[in-house]
Amino acid sequence: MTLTLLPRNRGKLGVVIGEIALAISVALWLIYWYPFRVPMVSTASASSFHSDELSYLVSVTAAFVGALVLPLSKRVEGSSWQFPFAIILGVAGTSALASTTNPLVILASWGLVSLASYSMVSLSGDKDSLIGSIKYAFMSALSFQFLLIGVYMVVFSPAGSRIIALGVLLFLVALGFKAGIPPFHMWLPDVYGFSDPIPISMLSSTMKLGALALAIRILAQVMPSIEPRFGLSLVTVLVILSSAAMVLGNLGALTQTDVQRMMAYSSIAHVGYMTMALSAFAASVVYKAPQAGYFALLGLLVYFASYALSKASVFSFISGVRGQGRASMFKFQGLGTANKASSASVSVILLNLIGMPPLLGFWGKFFIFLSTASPSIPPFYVAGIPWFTLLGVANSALSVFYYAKVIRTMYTSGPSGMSSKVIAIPLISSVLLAAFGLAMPFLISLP
Amino acid sequence: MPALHSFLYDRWFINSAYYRVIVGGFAAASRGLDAVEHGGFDKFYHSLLPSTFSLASVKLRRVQTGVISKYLTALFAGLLIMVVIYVAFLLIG
Repeated sequence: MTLTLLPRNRGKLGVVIGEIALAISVALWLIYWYPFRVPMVSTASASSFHSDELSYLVSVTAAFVGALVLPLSKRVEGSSWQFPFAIILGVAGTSALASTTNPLVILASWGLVSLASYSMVSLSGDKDSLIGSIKYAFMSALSFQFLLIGVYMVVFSPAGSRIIALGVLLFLVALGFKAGIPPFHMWLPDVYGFSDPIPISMLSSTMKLGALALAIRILAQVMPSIEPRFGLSLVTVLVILSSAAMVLGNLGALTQTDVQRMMAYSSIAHVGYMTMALSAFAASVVYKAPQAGYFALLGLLVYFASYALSKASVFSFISGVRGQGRASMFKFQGLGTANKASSASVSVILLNLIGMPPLLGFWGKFFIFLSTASPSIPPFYVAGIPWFTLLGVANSALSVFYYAKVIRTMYTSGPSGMSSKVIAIPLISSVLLAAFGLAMPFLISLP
Repeated sequence: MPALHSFLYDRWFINSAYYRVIVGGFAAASRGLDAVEHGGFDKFYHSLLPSTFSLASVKLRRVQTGVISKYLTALFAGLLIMVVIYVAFLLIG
């Protein structure tokens, strides 16, 4: 409602105000974060908000990606002022979700992120975006009920009560919906795959980070207080969700000829890797393996930044290629010569999504796989073989087929309707992903 | 005597034995390995594996009907499966 009341012809002003707000937000978070310790998640706080590395990283990433996507708002049809406003709402909600354990703040910020998300999708006004927005809103409303009950159970049950674990289970349903974990992911390929890619560049990258950060905060708070057998059951559920997301996401993307839809399925696979870190983090508490927990958290934080930058870039690039129709693979032919800088940077980003060293995506996957390969966690091993880690590695290998197909298509000759104008987001993101990837060994301190 | 002559004339059959056992043996082993490589490994990696993954991918994508009632059914089925797994592992543990 608020969005529709805003004036439509103040496009540039909206972008400028939005950029200033997000720049101030990034600067403030970085000042608070300094001197950049990684990783840490706090569970006890005098106020409703936690100031730790988890909240800093998610907030900086969300605000930075928001600032990158914001200038594209002029390309979202008829939404010159509303789109920047929706981005700022979404970034604020994501920061709040990543920073709190207060039930009221969780519910309010979850609602804020959801509202910003489906209004963002609908702003383009085309038929596919509107259908996607309605589907998203409908499913979101339902999943919100699970969040409500789950959070209520977690917060208001006595410490150590078995009902807490059931509450976490219901929270996982809401998380599964928000992040796109099978079988709660069904809305995602339709919304990410057909709607206007510019809102999706924001939606797919940052809007799910808050929910995932909240998941790790809830696990950090709940896991030590519940009986180990309840904890182990939760770990089992997380492992199954993670495996399903990796396998179904990659299989779905494998035979796609529409690049936007391919990236939609690949988002599901990437959430699988992040859920893998959640499983390892939860299991590290049950089996008292702090080193595995450290790597899981470190991997997740690195993955957040890498994933958000990559997805925002890829979808914004797709919006430039697809025009009014679908993002069919043949439209990517010849881009390597028509728009050299953008194609090269998108290739770097796709390699980052594969997890190619020395890019940042490699470090995210490396730390996550390191956490699941911990010998201190017996369920991740069968007959001495780290099956969970191998499943992750095999899925990464499987993803090479479809990512490489896009890179190869860009560098095959063909007619390209794309202009040679460089798209800023992939360029900035690829430089950052390469720079942070190269600097990573100097940035972290191993336990 | 002719048998001895023939034996000595054929250089103790070393040459033919060499060809039959060593050369023939290696040739047969090579044909066998070739059959395993082309019929087994190549077929597995270049035909069976890609077609299995492609089939799985196509079948999986067919689940994506766009019908929201089916998505809701999947959501509730997922919740049910999660609860069943949770309780089952609770009982086993």
